[in-house]
Amino acid sequence: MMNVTKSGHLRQLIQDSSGGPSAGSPHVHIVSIPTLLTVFAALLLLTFLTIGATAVDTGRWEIWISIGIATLKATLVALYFMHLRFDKSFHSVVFLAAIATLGLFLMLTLSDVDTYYSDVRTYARDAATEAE
Amino acid sequence: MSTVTQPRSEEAFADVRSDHHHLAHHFESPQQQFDAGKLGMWIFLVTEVLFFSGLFVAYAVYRSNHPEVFIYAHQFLDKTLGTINTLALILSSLTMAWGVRCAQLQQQRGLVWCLGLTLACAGFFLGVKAVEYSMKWDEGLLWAGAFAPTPEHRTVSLTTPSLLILSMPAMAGLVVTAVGALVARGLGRGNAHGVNVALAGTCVAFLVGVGGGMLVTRAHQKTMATHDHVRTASHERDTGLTNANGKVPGAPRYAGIFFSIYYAMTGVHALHILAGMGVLTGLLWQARAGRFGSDYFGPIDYFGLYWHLVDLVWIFLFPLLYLIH
Repeated sequence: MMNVTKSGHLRQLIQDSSGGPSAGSPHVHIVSIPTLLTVFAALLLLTFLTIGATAVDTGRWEIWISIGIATLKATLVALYFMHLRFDKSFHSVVFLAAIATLGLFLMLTLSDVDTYYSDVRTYARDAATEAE
Repeated sequence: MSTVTQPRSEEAFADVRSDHHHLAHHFESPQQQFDAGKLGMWIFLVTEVLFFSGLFVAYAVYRSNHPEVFIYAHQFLDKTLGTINTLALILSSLTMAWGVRCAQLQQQRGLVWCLGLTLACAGFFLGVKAVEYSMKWDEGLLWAGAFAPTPEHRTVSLTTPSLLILSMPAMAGLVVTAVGALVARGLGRGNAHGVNVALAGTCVAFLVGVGGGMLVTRAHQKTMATHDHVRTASHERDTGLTNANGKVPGAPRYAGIFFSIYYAMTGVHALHILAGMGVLTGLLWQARAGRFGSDYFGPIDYFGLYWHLVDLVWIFLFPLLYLIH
């Protein structure tokens, strides 16, 4: 009898700390089927939108439009398929830290390239003129 | 409240544990185990993002320095095949997310179906990819150093050596898993039968991808053949991209590096798909055995995160590689 009481207490403790509906089961948000299907449809729509955008000549904006649509798709996947919207916000912080680092890599490298590449081009042009 | 400070006896723990067979000894509750695993998975995904970011930086530097190479090279990437593969991966993401839901709700049959469909989508994706790769290899569109495009387009068929080599694992796999499924059924091994059927279906999906990819490329080649002459001539006149390195007429200098980046990015992505398929097979086996339920679905949930990240990478690769114009 003693044992049963003790384990009852322990179960109660676990339940309290987890806040779960049943003793011991991990408590998570279960994404509904309509939500899954809506996100799926939105992803399809955005895919066709980004393909359709290539038919329009947007010049130098082209890359930013396609990256913008891709980011929107990625956000939908992360928020709903990867549960970030319903999850602990710490997981979003961890993920965004990685994305921010990727942004840092890109910005620093491209600014470096931008600084020196005009010199490289000038040098290449001069070399070509000399060769002639 | 006195119970909180009371030291917990070994028997009390043993009793809780008997309800949760999957609870590792160093965790106090399934909740704690799940949270720890999930955070671990997210940290792994961070390393994956950083790993892929090196490739994206290479792409960005090269594109900003040599935009003409990207404009030249995009004509060799089939937009239709890229679109088909994007749709296959989005569908696989849906089935995976649905599978996680099934695991959480203890829907065993639904879980097995979702995992099987995810596997099949991955097989289809690789089948289409095999057609793309073999077509480029046959036309000499290789990485820098081996880049030597041949002017004429060849028709792809299953007898094309490169495509045959890439399809062989799926053909052999189909035979092995089909035999395996029959034997397992004869022996009354339900799990082995189910997993073999799913793997055979995946091999079939790969071959369907190969067949579909071939049909699309052939249709494109037919329309291209009629325009080819006009197009090449006007292209050279407009861009002046002739014989820049004295070797490959029509190809701008450094064009091979685009294909280095292309193979590195899509190849590493395809390796992630392959690795994911291996893990999926293991999960499918365990799901068939009824190992997952509302108190233990961590592995399905974590794997889902990985699968979606691989999908995220493709979401960016598709416009960056296929939709240049």
